[in-house]
Amino acid sequence: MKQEESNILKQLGKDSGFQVPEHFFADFSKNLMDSLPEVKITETPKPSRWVRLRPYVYMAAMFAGIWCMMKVFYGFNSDKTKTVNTEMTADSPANGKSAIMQDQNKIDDNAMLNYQDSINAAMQRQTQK
Amino acid sequence: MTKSIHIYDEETVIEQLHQQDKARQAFSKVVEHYSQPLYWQIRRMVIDHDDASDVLQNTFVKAWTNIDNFRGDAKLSTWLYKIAINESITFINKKKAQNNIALTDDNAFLVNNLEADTYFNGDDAQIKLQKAIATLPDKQRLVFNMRYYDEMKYEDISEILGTSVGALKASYHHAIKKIEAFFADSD
Repeated sequence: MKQEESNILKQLGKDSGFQVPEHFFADFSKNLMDSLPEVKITETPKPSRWVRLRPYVYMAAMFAGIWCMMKVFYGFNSDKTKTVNTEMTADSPANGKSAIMQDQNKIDDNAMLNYQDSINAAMQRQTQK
Repeated sequence: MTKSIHIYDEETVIEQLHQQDKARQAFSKVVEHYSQPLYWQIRRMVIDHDDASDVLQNTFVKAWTNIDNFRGDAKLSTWLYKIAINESITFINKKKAQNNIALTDDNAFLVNNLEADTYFNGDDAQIKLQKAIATLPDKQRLVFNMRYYDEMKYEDISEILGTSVGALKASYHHAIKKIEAFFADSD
């Protein structure tokens, strides 16, 4: 504000030179209050707790609704994605090949286990004899 | 001597203003709290002390009789200042009509008898400043008084006068230029 003011105003200062009679404001308040007419005031009923909370409850319900909708939507979509992935695993040639390789390894492992078991069984039989 | 301290809580006062049994007491707090700032605002507009006192009384009577219409959407101070300004301008226009002065003319007639005013102790420079301010249009006078003497924020003046901050800044700038020109012409 200082920059806005001219040199003239800076020299003059903020005192306007106006004065009031002694005790003017105290007397004014008293005289005014004595002279005020009666007025009828329409009292507005204080809003109940539910009325005050209602907007927040509605807002919370709205967000809960949106959350539920998102949950349903994304839940449904993620199931779909899983199915598609399974289908893709079976369908794609590369994935199919690796699956076959995995299965072959399992068969080899099983054969190895069976062979080891039969040796163990034979050794046990010889020990018993 | 002990001095009683009045704690003024505007929120509580506004609440009480809308209760039949507490409204009068609450309004007395409003009068005590706002009579000085409103008086000085009115005084700088109408210049004469007795006139300012009458306008201030009218302002509070109007506020009291319309208290039911005040719903607390705006600040109480803004509402009171608006009433005070309207009352001041109405008073000046009535005085102009009584003195056969056109409404569009400036308010120089208000400061003609300033030297003789019992409740004015300003020097020649202060009288000259009052004369310069009186040549301004009503809105510029209001903006100048609120900004220069009361050091009110432009945002608060904007709420009271319903004018944008940019327009108020321009108005204040023009007012200063006119006052400077008045001083330059009279030297």
